[in-house]
Amino acid sequence: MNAQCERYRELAADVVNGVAEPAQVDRLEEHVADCAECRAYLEALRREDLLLAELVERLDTGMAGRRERLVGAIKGQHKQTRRSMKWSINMTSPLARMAAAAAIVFVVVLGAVFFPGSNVTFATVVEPILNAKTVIVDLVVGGEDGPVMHEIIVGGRIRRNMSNLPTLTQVLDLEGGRMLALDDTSKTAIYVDIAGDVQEGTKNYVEFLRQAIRQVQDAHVEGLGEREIDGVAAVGFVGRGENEEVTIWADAKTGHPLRIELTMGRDFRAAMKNFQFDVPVDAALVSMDVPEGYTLADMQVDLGDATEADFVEGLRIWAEIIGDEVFPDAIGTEEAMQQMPVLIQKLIARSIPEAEATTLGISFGRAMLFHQMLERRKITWGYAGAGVRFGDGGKAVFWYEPEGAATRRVIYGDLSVRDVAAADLQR
Amino acid sequence: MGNGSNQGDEAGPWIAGEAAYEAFFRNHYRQVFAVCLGMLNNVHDAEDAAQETMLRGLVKGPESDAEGFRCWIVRVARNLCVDVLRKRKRLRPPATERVVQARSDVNARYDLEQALRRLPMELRVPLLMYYFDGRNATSIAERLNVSTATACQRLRMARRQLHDLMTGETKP
Repeated sequence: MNAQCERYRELAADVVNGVAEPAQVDRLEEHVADCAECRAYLEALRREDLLLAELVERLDTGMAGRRERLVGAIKGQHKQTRRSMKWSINMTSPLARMAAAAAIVFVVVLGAVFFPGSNVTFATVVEPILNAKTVIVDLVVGGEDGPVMHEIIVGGRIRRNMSNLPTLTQVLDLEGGRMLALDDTSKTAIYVDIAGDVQEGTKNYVEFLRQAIRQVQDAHVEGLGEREIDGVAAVGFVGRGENEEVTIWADAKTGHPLRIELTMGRDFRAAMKNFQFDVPVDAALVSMDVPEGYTLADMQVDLGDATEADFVEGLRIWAEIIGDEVFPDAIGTEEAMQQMPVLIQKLIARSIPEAEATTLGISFGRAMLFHQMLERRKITWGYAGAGVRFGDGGKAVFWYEPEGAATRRVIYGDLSVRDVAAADLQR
Repeated sequence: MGNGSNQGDEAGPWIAGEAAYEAFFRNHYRQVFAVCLGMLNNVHDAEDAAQETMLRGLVKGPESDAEGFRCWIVRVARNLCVDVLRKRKRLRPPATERVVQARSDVNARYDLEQALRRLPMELRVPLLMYYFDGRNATSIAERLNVSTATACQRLRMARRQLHDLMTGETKP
């Protein structure tokens, strides 16, 4: 062993640690080809590396059994601390009212046309289902863990509750283009104007639901064979449109839909389940009148057609407030729904005045509507903001191609917007 | 979703239910445990400290940004472990003797565990973090709030000293 060997042994450690440059690895390989001592050293480090990995794996396996108990214990403790936190929020009712206003803006807008060209005939057997006066369904947004929207659909009215915002209720009047939002915590009611995209999109959603059921019944789609869904033998079908894919599982005996999975564009995934048709529904549940005991808030909320400026403002809120000065890893309906409670928490934590907080909440919602519109109009878009610092004008975070435009609209980390030729966007 | 995946992960579980708890654990537990084990040298104590750390992380969560949080939670773990070590010192006198190992009849695995115990804490912690976090030196640097070069250097020293301890080449 000479003085050089000492340096090679340091390098050997780096190589085993996986932090050496390729050229350094080559140099070490060359040296150990000639130096038996260093070769033995490198081999020993590699053996020890394997032993360490093994040891950690054993510890991991041992931990796995205890882990669940541990997670349970921590959850229990945490929920206790959270309960006290929640209580303090309840006490400040103006904030809860703000929360209501901030949260109401979620209206899922789905695409319009599925399976172009399929001539759906109304089989007699499905007639009662299609004409059901009421449909009750759970819509899971995103994966199985995503927020659940419980929907009661009665004609042109929808009553909607979201699992991640349990104190909030929305009643949508699709004919009138209005929504009544109710916050159970502060007993506050707000009317929201939804004329335009939201109204159309939601109407189409109801129509889509019906069409999806027809697809199953007529089997104008590819069969997926049989599978058990919640203990019931089910037959599956999948239909693919231009921009969407729909998988439907229905009771093999009765044709009653059990589960419908949607993929829209590349951004929206949802599953519908727990269908009920024509069960009695109390008319008060879908009434547009302010329920007894609720106070109508004096504020104008407009969720009419959203613009790019709305979207830019939404990005600002997402990066600056929700993300603590960093753009999120991904944006989309599912993410936005999940982040809404965070936004509310952050607004409360920052003691933002109610009126301003309300405006922020509405802006965030309008921004997401704009994004949903892009999908719906099949406009190509891209998001590259993951980890970008808010205010970084050198990095593009979002781009889209307006219909018929030769250039792309690009939004940068400092929220400046420029028209850029597609070829220049490579960087 | 879009171009990225759904990674609301770094934020805390106050977001949305059970899945968020899972994500929080996935993102932090192994690293926190690695730090505690590195400092306390005892799986049972390390689990206790890791549990307490995670709980503090859950409570603190909403105020913090992702990068800062990754660093912060490791700092909490270290502080808690320092407390445990202090208590231990009070409870029992410092070990005056090391268990004498009959080197001939122990296998490599046992050697490794013993060597690991004897490795200085400031090297043992990054080394365990390395194995508990997918062999990622950059992530260790971030968690320990040191430069990547420093993290690499500590890993290098850890590996070399561990080898010396295992082969009995260490100087007293």
